[in-house]
Amino acid sequence: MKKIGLIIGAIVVLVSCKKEYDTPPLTPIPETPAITIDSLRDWQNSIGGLISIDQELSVHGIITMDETDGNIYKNVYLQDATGAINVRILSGGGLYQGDSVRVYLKGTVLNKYNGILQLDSVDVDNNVVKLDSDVDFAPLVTTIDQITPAIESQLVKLENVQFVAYEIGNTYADKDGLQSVNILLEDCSGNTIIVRTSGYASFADELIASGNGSLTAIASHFNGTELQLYIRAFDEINMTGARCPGIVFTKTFDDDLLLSGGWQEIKVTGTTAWETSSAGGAATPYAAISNWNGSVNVLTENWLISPSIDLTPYGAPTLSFDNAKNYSGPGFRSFDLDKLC
Amino acid sequence: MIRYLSATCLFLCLNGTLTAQITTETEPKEKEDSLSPNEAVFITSLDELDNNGGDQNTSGLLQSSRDVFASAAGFNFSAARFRIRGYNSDQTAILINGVPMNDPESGWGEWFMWGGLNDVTRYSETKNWLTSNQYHFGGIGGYSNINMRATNIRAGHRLSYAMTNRAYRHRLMYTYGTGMQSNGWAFAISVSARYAQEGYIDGTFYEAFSYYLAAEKKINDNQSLSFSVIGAPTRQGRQNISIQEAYDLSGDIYYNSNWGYQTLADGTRIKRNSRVQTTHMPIAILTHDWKISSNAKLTTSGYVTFGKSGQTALNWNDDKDPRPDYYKYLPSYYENIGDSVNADVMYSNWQSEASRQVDWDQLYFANSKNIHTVKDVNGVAGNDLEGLRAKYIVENLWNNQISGGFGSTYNRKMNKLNLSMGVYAQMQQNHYFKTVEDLLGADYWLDVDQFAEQAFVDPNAAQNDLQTPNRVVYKGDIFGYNYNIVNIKSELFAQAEYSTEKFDFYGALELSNKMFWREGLYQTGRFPDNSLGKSETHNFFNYAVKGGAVYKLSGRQFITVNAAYLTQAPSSRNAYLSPRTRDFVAGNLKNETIYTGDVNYIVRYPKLRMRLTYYYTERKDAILLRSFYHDDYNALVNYMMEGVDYLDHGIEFGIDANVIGGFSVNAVAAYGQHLYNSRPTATISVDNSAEVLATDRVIYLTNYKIGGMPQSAYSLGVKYTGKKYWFAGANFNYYADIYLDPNPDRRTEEALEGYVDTDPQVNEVLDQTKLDNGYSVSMFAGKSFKISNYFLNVNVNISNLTNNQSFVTGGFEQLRYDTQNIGKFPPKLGYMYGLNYFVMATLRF
Repeated sequence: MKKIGLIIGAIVVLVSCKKEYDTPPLTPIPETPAITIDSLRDWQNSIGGLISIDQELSVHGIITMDETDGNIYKNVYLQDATGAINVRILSGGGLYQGDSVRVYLKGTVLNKYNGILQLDSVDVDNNVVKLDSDVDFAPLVTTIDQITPAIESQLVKLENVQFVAYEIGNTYADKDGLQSVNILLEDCSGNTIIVRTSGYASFADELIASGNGSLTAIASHFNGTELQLYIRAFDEINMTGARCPGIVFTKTFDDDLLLSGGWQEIKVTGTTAWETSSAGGAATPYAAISNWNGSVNVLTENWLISPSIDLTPYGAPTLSFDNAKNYSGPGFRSFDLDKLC
Repeated sequence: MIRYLSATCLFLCLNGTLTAQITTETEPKEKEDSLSPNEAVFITSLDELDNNGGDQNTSGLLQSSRDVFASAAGFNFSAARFRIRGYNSDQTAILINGVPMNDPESGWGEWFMWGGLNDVTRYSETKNWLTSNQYHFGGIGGYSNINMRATNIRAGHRLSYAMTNRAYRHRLMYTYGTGMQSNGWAFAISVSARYAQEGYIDGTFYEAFSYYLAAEKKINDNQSLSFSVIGAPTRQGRQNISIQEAYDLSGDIYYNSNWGYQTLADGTRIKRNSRVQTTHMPIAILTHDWKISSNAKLTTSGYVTFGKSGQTALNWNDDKDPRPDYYKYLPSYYENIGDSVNADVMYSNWQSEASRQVDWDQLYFANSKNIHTVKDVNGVAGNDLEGLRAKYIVENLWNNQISGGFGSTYNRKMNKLNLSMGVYAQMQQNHYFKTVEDLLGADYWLDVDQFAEQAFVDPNAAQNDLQTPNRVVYKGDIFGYNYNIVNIKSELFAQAEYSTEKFDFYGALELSNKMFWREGLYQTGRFPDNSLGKSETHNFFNYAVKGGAVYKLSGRQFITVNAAYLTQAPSSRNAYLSPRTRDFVAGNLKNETIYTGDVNYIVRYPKLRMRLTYYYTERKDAILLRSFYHDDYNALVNYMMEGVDYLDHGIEFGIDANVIGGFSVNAVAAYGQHLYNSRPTATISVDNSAEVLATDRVIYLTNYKIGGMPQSAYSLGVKYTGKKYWFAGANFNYYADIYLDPNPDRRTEEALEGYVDTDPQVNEVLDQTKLDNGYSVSMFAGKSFKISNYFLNVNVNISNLTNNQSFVTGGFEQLRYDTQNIGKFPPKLGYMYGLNYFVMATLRF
């Protein structure tokens, strides 16, 4: 029986001997000369269009926003001392906020999309070398009025900002319909900027912050006109302080509806009507009126009137609006509000 | 014989129309799947057959030496995955020394536990139909009792070597038995090894050992005690079936996406399989045989079995799907969206062997640069870890068992009456968990759920184990999920058999109780209140009755009838909606009901043996759980159907006639209808989300065919037995009415949303795929020699002699589908092996 035991033992040992696989020899991503992000921007600006990079070049930078919270998909933001760029990756994932990376540019594509410089067709496995991780990267502390297309794709932090009062109670985006939503952020000086959030973001169905505080985000824009912010993480919305009055009431005509929100139109003289329009390449619709009927100017008095607004809680309310005129004749004239009431 | 055949024709008029009443509506839906590795829903690859009895030298389920139908069907039909009466192995009781051994968790007979021990299992007592049974109530598919006592091994040595080109290439076996010695002891041993560096399918390998040790002590003239241990440690590289496009592109109908090349340090490339199955579940059994009197005996056994069963797979996080036949790597995906550039790229990828297989070097490369910092490792604030985070790993999915059982059977003979009684108990714990098998060069794997991370604000939601958040795991560590399923089953059985000159009768009753529960070892972030600890216990009481009669027309001709009615507890494997993450069960967990019966005409002359049978079986209120990987969720989606009814009925006919001299002919026909027979309701859930995708969805499944097996099969053969201890024979086998198992979700109101009845797409969505009928030719021969005191046997058998490589034996419809374009996600198909052989030489001394 001893022998049998030995045989069994030997068999069990044999079977338990599993082969360990060795790590195969790997070819590293080539070392190359470096190029800065502003040089990439200049390069694209000078040639225009799509540039398929076949040079031995690399760009270094820190990943400032990743896909973890779902607000962006298959792209990340990369920033160095000279600027920032949107990096579009072939398959989602693999790059995280705080990664210090070298992107090997050969095989990638430099492009501008909706006015934003982007590095396209980046294969995270084959184009990216991670040099370090969890690197602290301080955002640019700035104010809403300082945000311009010049700091495109950079990480910014805004202090003492709040979402406009009439959006409170809404969510950051439409999670059920998976639609992106624009929400207006304001400071206490009447400046505003759009915060755009994807319906796929993990926080899309959260109620927007109702207080005043700080927000860290990526600055962006749409073709140089509409400025936008992208929230990179839900826990970077720190807006729990007391609100300043901010915008009490607004009408943007973005919905392309003249009278939505309780507005009314009163024609005193003539039949000329107010209408919404996007003529002139406006990013969003506006309201317009013209008394030119095609051959003559028709005498017109037509009021576009807001619903009544209770301003009692506010100390010194102000009214502001954008306006423009075309053709000859007197321009904008201000009326004394009190006298109108 | 002609008369018998014409009788068959009467039954051939079984009607069945494929009807599925469906009203219209639905938006196009896309689903992505690949079958989950641990769901034994159907045989997904051909090599499982070889493992489970496709090899005719193994004691397979289909075998029975005495019955003319079952033995021929087992020998000839296994290549096409034929199942007798359409039953799975859960309807056949597997007994060792009379104790039931079916896995109480799944109900299945686990033949792999004693694979390779053919010298021990060869003479198991097997009956493949409803019958009386002196050991146990048995299943409606009969029973198989393996005698593991040392005295079952005949005294002497037996050494055999087999060469084959199937799952393995070589098999060596040695068996020795002492027989009952004068000192009252008998010992027996059997060991075997099976090996293939590469099996029939590319990238597969086979390393298996088996052992059997038995001792038996005769205590006195009436009592003996036997102790046996068996086990079969096995490692196997597995095969995967693909869609036809992958076969066409690779030019290989046996294309196996599981393997790929890996470069070694010296530059050579080796084939590595990503799906390796490792099993070793030894059984130890102690049996006490007590002959109480000349006509009464009591047999009592207890057993324990414990061991491991694991299956490796690739896992990945934040990177591309590494499986080479993933649908986005196929040209058709891009052709469908009009992207000819990428279609060409994919086409050229498939032209080279290395790039249409797993690219192991690339997986290592991706891991080699992924420096990452995990914050607050194991939930300890400030405990940050920087290192190479694995994007790709090989994980091992385990189902480890500890099981114990007991059985005691009393048999008493009285004049014309035989009484049998038994009591049995089984307890089993299945431990399900995953471990890291290979980090592929990385430093660690972070155990969080990627999908939940992106979908929920709450950082806890992504934690697979809330007790240790942000858990970093290394080689060998448990991760992902971790839970036990415990089953306890107890049975009481009684049977009476009564014989008269013209009639035999039997009747049997079984009362049983089964309970099961889940015990979660992880607290899952998505289900913190329903994952950790012991769940509710689900308890089921069942009863079963059966009876039968034999009318003896003469001593050579018999008419028999059998009938059974039973209720059957749902198996815990099907009952849990998503056991990996929570303890939710089917909404209406209840017993199944089975009723079945058969009528047989049996002829047994020395030169003519025949059986003709009609059988009818209905099984009601079953649960069917199918799981598949959905890439949108990066998780398994579970499709649970309740109220699934099955109908199996048909004819079995077998005849073996000696024509002249040593020349005989045999014929076997199995004409059957195996159908779904109800409209089940489905609940669709995702492992890592509380969101239920659908509840109470009605599946219009009535009269769809059960897929994955030929509904009917036929065989015609000749055999010659020579006077000088040799024999040879050949069979022509024909397999008919083979369907792919239907994707239930395509047979719903929701799938047809937006269509009107006359739209051609309606039929495309609803119609079940029927495969072409197929054939095979098999051949066998053997000769025995006696050289002094040595006996040498040489046996050869060849399957698919004509090397027919166009026969699709089965497959499955993908659960992913697009109602607008059903051809977009074609079914996965498996082909019958080409010519394959098994040559064995056995020496007895």
